[in-house]
Amino acid sequence: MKDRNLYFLLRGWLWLRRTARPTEVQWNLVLAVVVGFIGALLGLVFRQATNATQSLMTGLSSNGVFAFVQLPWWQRLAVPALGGALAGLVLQTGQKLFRQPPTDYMEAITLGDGHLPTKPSLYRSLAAMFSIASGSAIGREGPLVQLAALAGSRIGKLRKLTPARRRLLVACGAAAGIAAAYNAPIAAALFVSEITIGTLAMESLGPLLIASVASIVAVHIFSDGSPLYRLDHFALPRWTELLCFGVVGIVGGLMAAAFLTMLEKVKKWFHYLPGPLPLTMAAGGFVVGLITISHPEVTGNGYEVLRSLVRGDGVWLVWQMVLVMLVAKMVATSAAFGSGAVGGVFTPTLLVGSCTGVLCWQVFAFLFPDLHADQAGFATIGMGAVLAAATQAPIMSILMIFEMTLSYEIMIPLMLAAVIAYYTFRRIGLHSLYHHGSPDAYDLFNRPLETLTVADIMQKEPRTVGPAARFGEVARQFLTGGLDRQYVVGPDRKLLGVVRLEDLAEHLHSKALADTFIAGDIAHENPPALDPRSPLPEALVIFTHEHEQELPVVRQNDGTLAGTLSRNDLLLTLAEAGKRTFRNR
Amino acid sequence: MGAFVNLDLSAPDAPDAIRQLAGALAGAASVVDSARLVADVLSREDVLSTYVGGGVALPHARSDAVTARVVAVARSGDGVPFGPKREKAHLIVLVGCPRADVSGYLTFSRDLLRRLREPGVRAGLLTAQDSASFLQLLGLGEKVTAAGPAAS
Repeated sequence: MKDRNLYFLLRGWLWLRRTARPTEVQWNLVLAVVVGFIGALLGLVFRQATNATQSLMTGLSSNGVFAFVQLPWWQRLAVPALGGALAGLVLQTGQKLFRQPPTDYMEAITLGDGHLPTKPSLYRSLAAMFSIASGSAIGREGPLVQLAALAGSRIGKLRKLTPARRRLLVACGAAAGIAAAYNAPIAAALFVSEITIGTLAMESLGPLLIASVASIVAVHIFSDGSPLYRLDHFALPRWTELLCFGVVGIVGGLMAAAFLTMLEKVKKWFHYLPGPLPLTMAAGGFVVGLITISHPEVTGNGYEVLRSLVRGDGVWLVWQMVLVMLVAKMVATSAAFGSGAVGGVFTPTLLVGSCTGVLCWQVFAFLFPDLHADQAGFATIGMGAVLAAATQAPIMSILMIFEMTLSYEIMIPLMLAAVIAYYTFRRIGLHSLYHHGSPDAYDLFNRPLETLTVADIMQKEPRTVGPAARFGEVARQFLTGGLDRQYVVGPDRKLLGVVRLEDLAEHLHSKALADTFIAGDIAHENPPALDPRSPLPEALVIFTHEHEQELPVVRQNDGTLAGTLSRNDLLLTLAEAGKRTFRNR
Repeated sequence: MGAFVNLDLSAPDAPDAIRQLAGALAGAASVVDSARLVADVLSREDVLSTYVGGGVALPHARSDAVTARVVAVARSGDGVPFGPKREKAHLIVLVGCPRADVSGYLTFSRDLLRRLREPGVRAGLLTAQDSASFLQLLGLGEKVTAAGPAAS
C-alpha cells in the first residue's frame, strides 16, 4: 500500500515537472525556500545554544539583561571578561588551524562569488556565541546571518550552481537570517537587495522575498513570531510637528556618524594593544563588565531596553537616565566590537537611535508644552533615522521599523526622518556600517566587465549523452535531472546536437520508444552556440536573437563542447559586474 | 506523405532491404535526394539495430533528403536478418523524416510501434491480400490516399 502511494506521489511529481517545466529562475525560487527554511532553523539553534551557554556562565536560568541584574558585582565584571577570553581563544585557534581567511557575510555577498568557507564561518559563529552569551554589548545578527548564508553557499555548492546563482543563494541565506532575527521579512529581503546586491531587480529580489517568507514560516512553526517592538498607540503628530521629526532626522544622521566614528576609533585603539587575541578580547569584555556593574542594562544587544524605551516605562522618561544609557551603550558596544568580538551592531544602532529620539522628544516637549506626539513615537522614529543613516539604506530602514512596530501611522514622520538622516550622514562623507571593502582580485565579479568572457561564467559540467544513448536513458535524465536540454557529444566531446525537452515532453514515458530510439534520432544538429572567448555583451546579443534559456558553449577550433550558459546567469553577472565596473571608476 | 508498399520483399540482409525500400521512394514528391536518404537510414542502422521484436523492424532516420515524412513498408515471407543477432524481420517499416520535425517524428513512430505491438495486427499484416488493406491495418490508409498516389 505504501509503495502504491509512493508510486502515485512520484507520478504526480513527474507530471508536475513535465507540465510546469520549471525554468532556472523558478528553480531559484525553490532553492530559496530551502535555504530560507534551513537558515531560520540554524538561527533558532544558535539562539538556543547561546541561551544555554549564558545559563552555564551565569548560573541563572533567565537570560539577557534580566540575568545580569541578578548577578553580584564581581560576576558582572567577570562574566564578560571570561566570555571575551573564550571567544578570543576560539578565534585564535581557528585562525591557526584553518589558515583560511575568514569571510564576513557582508563581504561574501558584496564581494564574493558565493563561496563561504565553512570552517571559518563555523568557528567565528562559535566565538560570537561566547561573546553574546557573556553579555558582550553586541548584536546577534552577525552570526545568525553568517550561518544562514553558509547554508546558502553549501546548498549552492551541492547543486553545483554557477557563481552567479550561488551568490544569489548566499544572499537568500542572509535575507533569511535577518528575517528570522528581526521578524521582518520585507525589510530583510530589501536589506540584502539594497545593501549587498544593490538592485531591486526581480531576478534577485524575488528569491530573496521567498527566502524571507520561508524563514518566517520556520520561525512561526518553531518559535514565537510576534513583532519585536509592537507600538499600539502612536499619537499622530499635527502637521507642524513633522518639522520636529525633520530635526530628529538631522540629529539622527549626526549621531549615526558619531557612533560609527567611535566604533572605528576604539577598534584602532584595541589594535595597538599588545598581547594575544584572547587577552585583548578579555579586556574588551572587562570594559563592558565595568559599565555593567552600575548599568547592567548595557549588556547584550539592547533589546530589552529598547522595548522599555518604546513602551515609555518609568525611568526611561527621565532624560538623565536616557543620556547615560546612550553614552554607556556606545562605549560598551565600541569596547566589545573594537576588541574583536564577532557579532553585529544592528540592534545597538537601534538603541542609539531610540535614545536619540527620546532625548529629542524631551527637548521638544520642554520647548512646546502642548506637543501632541509622544515619547514612543520619537523613540521608534529615532531608531529608523539612525538606522537609515548608519546603513545608508533608507528604504530597508523604513520597512524594518514598520515591520518591527506594525504601526502604519508612524510611516509618514518615519519616512521624513529616515531620508533626512540618510542625507545628513551622506553629507558627512563617512563609510556606512556595511561599506564595501577593498576589491578582491580573485573575485570574478570584480574584474572589469569588458575582460569577462563566456568561459568565465559558464557552467562547466553540462549534462551530456552519447549519440547512441537510448531514448529511455535520455528521458530518465530529463525526468530526474530537472533540465531542459541535453547535449549530444561524440567520443571526442564534439557537440553533435541538442535534445530539447519540449520535443520529448509527451513521450517521456513511452515504452515503445524507450529502446528503439536513440539520442541521435532526436537531437537538433548545428544548434546556435556561443564562443567561450566571446565578451559578455556579445553573448547577450546572441541570446536576444535566439529564444533559448540556455545555449551551449562550443570551442571554435575543434567544435568541442566547453560548457553551457544560461540567460539567467548572464543577466545576473552583467548586472553585478557592470555595477562594480562603474563604481570602481 | 509519400509511401511505398511491397508485399513480397526478398533481400539477403538489412542494408539491401533498406536500399530497396528507400530507393523505391525516389519518385515521391517529398524526396529530394533518395541516395542520401538511403545513406542516412543505413548509417542510423549502424549505430543501433532498429529490430523491435516480434518479427518487426523499423529502419528510420531524420534526413535533409526529405521535405515531408515518407514511409515505405514491406513484407517478407523469408524474413530479412537485422542487427548483430541477425533476427528475422518479416514486417519492415522504413520512415524518413525532415530534420526539424522531431516531435512529429516521435509521435508518428510511437503510434506505428503501438500498432505493430498488437499480435492481432501483426497476424493481419502477414496475411493481408492487397496493399490497401495492409496500409489500413498500419493506420496509414487514409493518410496515404489523401497525400497522393503511393508508388507500388
